[in-house]
Amino acid sequence: MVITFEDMAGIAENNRRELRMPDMRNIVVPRMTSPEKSKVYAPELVPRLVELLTAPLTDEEKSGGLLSEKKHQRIAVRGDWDVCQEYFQGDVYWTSLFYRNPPAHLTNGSPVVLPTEEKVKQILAGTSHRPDEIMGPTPVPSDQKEFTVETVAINAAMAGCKPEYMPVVLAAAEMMSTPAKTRVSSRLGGAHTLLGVISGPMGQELLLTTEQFGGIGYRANHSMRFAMELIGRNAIGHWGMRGEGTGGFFAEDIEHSPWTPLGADAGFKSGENVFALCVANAPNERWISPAWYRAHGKFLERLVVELGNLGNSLACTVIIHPSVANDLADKGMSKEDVRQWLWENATETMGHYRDRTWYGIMSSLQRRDSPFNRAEIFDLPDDAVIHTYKSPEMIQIIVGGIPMEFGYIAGGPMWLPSELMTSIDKWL
Amino acid sequence: MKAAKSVREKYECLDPRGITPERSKIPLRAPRMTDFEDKNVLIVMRESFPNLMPAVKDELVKYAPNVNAVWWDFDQKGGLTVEQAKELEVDAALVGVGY
Repeated sequence: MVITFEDMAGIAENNRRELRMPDMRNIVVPRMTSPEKSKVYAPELVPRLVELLTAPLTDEEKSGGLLSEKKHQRIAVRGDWDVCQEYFQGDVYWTSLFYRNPPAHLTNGSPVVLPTEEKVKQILAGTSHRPDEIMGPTPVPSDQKEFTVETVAINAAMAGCKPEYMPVVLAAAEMMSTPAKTRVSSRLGGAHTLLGVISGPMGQELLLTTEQFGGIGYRANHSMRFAMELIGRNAIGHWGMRGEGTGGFFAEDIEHSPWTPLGADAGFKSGENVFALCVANAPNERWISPAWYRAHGKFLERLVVELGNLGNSLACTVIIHPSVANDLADKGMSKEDVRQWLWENATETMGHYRDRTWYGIMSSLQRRDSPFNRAEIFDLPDDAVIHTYKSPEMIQIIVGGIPMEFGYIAGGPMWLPSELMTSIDKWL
Repeated sequence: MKAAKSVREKYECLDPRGITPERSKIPLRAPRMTDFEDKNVLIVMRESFPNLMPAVKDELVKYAPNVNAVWWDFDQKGGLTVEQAKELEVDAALVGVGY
């Protein structure tokens, strides 16, 4: 039986449904923020728990059957501009992250381009794939929806994308629905920030800026970022109440990078356009300013300090400005050298590791048979020194960013950088 | 001056949502306990319940002195696997979920 906080009752109900066990017994309690309050509340709670633990199963609980939702029509709304816009945008009064789905019906609150048949047809011209091609994993995971190339195109149209963005948006949709992404944040919820990154010549061809949060005024960056949010919410069905958003969409700066592109790190062939989805735990971000770098140098030494303070991160993304990357290259360091150096020097005591936020979730995955398994560390004493990351492969390095910040680090929970990369060219 | 249109332009918009496939519901099958006599009740403490679950454990033992309250600290032991749950031979479980 499950005990849930009252302000998370909605998400818990959805989770039980996603697990296909809507009748799983549960009890909702107020938030207990101190041992004293808990001790006062427990005598009231336990009789209710006992009742639920001992009551015989009802016929409804024992019954099977199908869980189905009302199927929507192909045409969502008919009317003038105001009527249609209101249908999608609705009223936004987001009072609590976890109570209910946000009232903004089918957007993140922003207005959208109306996805008419004609508009969607224009967008679909950007790919050779059939509109009815089903995307995403098969069978559809219990916490996701089934969606097609056309579903992605409808959301891309709403976000203001051009037809030529479509292969990138399809690659993004593919990655957002992979089991690896699902492991990160579909059922977990949490305040995750997604970064979409293009590695390859298409980044420059589509006029994407290499600024990691896309800046303001760049259509390609902004509309593809918006498309990711809409696809996550509408097509895949992950987002909305889960506190997840898209932090940015940018191109790797292959023009000024001294190193091999990101795609090459994961084995993609030279010149191939690759999409990478980076998942960051929103609070786990650190910045290194150019002023600090110019005054102190020692860029990697500074990064190392930050790598050990990224909360529950099992992997991380490091964005290095081209000017710094070239300084490191001038010293003879390849990207692999940098990755290896960071891994070797990013260490901490086991006591520090145990004290990290969300240690339970992090260690749970690391005790199991998974790419993150580090079962050997959990019996070590608090003063034992361990590597912050299991292996160098957990550190993803991207050359890009803005001149105002020379380094950016985001800790990502439970994903391998190579798991969330795919070819854009296959979606042409 | 051009006259305003008397009828505002109408649009038909496509639905951007994916479709939730029909799924079979998993029925509850495990028989419920009728009492707590010598029963193993697993109490799983996750991050957000460091205060409440210990109090629940203490109170449950007061309520049913012969219950065997099995404590599982998620932070210390990680998530409970099905195999581990079978090994513990639990009759019921109380799990605090949320953050």
